[in-house]
Amino acid sequence: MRVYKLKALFKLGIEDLVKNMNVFVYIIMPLAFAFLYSNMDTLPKDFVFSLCMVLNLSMVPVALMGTIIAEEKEKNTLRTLMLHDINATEILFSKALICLLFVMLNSILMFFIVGFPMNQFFAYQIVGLLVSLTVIFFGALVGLLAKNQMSAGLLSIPFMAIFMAPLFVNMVKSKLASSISSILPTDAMMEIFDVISKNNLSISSIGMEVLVIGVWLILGFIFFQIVYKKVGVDN
Amino acid sequence: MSSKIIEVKDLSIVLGKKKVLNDLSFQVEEKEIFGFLGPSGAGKTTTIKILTKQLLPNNGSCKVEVEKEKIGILSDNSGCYERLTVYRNLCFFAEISKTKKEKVEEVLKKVKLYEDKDKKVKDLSKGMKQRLLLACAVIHSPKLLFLDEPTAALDPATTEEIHKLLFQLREEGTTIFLTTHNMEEADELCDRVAFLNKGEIAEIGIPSELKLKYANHTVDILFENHKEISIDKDISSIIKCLKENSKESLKSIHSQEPNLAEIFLKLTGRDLK
Repeated sequence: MRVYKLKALFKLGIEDLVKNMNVFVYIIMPLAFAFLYSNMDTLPKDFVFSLCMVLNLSMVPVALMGTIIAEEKEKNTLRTLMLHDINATEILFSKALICLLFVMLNSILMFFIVGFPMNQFFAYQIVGLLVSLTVIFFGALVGLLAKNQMSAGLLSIPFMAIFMAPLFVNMVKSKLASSISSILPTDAMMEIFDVISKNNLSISSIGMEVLVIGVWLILGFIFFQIVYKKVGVDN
Repeated sequence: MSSKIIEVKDLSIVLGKKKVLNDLSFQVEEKEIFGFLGPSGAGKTTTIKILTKQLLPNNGSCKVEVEKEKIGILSDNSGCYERLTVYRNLCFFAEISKTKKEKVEEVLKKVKLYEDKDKKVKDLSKGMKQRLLLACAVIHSPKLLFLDEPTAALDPATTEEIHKLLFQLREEGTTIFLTTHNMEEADELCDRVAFLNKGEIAEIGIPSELKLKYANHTVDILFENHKEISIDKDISSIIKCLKENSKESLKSIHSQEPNLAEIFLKLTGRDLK
């Protein structure tokens, strides 16, 4: 991986993204929800933050990542990049960096919108970053499989539904649904946020959740490798 | 003395169940414009894809004696970032090839897009977009440039602009591998051409020599009184004819040479459409 190429791709990707209102909605929406819900006195702060972080993690690394890769395929810029001596790793890594930047920017802004105490800042952000890294592999997977932006939108729906599931599990009141939800990385993240908000953070209190996130990170990497070897970056 | 920059030997590829290229062999010399001519589906784009390592052949070998970063490619499915300006797009391609920013303006002037540098790519006409893609392909001063149908569906004025630019690039030392099904374009641009038909090379050579090789062995003698005589192309026949018509005043003597499209038709029995 060549840093100067990565830097150029990253800069161009950001400039292109901020001018693309179709996908910029994915970034704005979790922030808008954070602003809206934080002004509702009936909702506790930690619930609002967890809800918006799950939205953030389901939309930015999955839908956004998938869509921006698919758009490069659709508009033939991906092929052009590869013909200009840029390899697939550099392209995918630059896209992942862009998505991570926006997901973390959202996370930081949401932290301030919700109004958490500053001493919890790094704990929230580190957990958010760890789960983002897990989820981003699935966004890259969507990008690899999709041939255009429309199919990226369709393909990201099941992944978004899976990662958003912990938000709706309490509504269905099913033990099975709760058990399934407990093995999702976003559920593990919500559990850790709960521990942080109660100032009970210790290795033993979040051991299981960290394990779940770690397993998803490995699974995401394996799935990505399998699909990448099978279809490549430019089908 | 020029040296080989591309050397292809017995190249074959099967895509699906179709043998797209069959035992292709040719060489491209340094600093020449080499035309790869044939109708749609002849295998021109497939050859470029193999030479640029987008496809692997089943048999044969191809050597491209230029490092990857010194190759420029304009294919029929190249694209630019439509929401960004002409200038920003070119700056990006300059940046990824470690080319100095000053070169961006120089190339924009060369492709006559300098006045439109602040326009977004989505607002450009088809001809302007093609010129921008060509600018992106040459921003790093490539030693070898692959052009896949660079003027297809462009208006004559834009085509002419692109031709001028290609001559200029050759003068600067760039070797150009050009595919086209436009025989007039090939005749105007190429130092050497290869006719590709159904995945095989039917003929290869310098256009003027090919025209002589496939010319009819007759000359037309035209007199002022509109009398026209076709005779064998040998000195004695011409002198004999002129003596026999010595009372007439001579208007012209010319040989009949076919154009490249006619040669292709003669060799393959196929039209170049």
